[in-house]
Amino acid sequence: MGFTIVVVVLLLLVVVTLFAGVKSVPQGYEWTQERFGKFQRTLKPGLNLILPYVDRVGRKVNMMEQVLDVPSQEVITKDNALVTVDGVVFYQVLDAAKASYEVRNLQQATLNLTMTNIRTVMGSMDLDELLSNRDQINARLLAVVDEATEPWGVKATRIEVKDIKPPADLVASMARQMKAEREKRANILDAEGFRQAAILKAEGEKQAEILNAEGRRQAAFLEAEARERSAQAEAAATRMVSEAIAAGNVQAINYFVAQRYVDALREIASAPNQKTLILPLEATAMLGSLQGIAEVAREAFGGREPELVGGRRRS
Amino acid sequence: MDWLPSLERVQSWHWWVLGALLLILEVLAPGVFFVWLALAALVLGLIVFVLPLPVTVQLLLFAALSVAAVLLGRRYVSRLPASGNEGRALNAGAHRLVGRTVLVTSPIVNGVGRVRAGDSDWRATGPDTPAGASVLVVGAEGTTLRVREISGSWT
Repeated sequence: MGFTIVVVVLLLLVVVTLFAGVKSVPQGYEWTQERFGKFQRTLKPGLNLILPYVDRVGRKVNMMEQVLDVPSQEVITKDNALVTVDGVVFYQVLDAAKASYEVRNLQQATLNLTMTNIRTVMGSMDLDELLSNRDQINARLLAVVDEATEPWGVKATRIEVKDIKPPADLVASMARQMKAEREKRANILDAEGFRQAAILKAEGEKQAEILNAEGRRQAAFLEAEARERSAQAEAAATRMVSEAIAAGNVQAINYFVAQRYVDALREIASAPNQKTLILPLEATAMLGSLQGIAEVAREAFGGREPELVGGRRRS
Repeated sequence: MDWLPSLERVQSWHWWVLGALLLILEVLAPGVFFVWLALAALVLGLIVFVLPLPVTVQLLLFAALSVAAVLLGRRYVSRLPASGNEGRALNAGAHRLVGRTVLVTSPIVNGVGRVRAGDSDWRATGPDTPAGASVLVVGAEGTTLRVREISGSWT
């Protein structure tokens, strides 16, 4: 019976021993193996055997890339603006042993390091730089934090500044500044437009004036030419008349003149205007011209006695 | 109640049932541990089925078989096809960069400098090189890459 108990206990012991000695590490983790508390080696993912009772698993280190949220903090920039900044850190443990034993609280250490460096980097820039040079900020942060976490077997793969929030009144003035810039540009463009328009208008007026003058000049030329032509015509007519007179009779002229004279008289008489003055006619001059007519007639009719005007015909 | 196993009489099917229960436990509570005991139980059931042994010997055999199962199983698992080949690229840390050509960002002075691999900067050890040169990653220790010059590429 005693032997049976021994055997049962032995069996239990074997089971417990196996339990202590067989370790299967899941992928994505590395476990550290400690022999009497001293670090011995790291256990890789998969099935591992360790010496029971002598070795035990120390730390179970996550070897995946991890994300740490950097809580928002207030940072004073170089030009004394108070901005609220938060960010995010990606890091990965590459050396499980160092991450386990070189640093006490890896997450907290990394986080604090990042936060203080965010202050350092941003404190050396002014606000405009801060808002426009995020790449540069990230690069500088990464260089510093990565160098600092090196002894802990940690690789900081990426640090990003998420949100940079200047205070509300500052944002308002930034918006105002932007608006003013735009308005300035709009006004300048307006003025440019007016200037161009005025220039064009003046150009147009100048052209019009020039064309007008040109027209007047041409007209004057043409008019002079016309006068010249009419003078020439008159001269030619006069010449023809004088030639005709030279060739014919003076009385012919008298006839024309008399005709005009009588026409003029009729017009004066029939004028509707009450103020027409009837000047006393020189009857003799009238008669003279009538005489001229008579003579013309006589010549025309070959010296026959003309019938008296208003007289009866003889039958 | 005479079907229950006792310290006087354990039959082969008792061991098989135990093996099955252990396998079920293994599936429900993963962690490669119960499977070895289950294997040992199944094998022992087979042995007991062939030649009936006293209970104490059976228990001793069970213990011995468990240890043997672990040792043999470990050897067998590591020899399974495609075991570890696919997983080797996972969580390899800096080792995944071995064989890559990288750019020196800050000159390697006194054997230590920084190189750019992927979208991140890495500490590098190797022969002194000016910044802007390309080097080959030949190894990695933790967060540090071992680099050497690309032979015949100096200009």
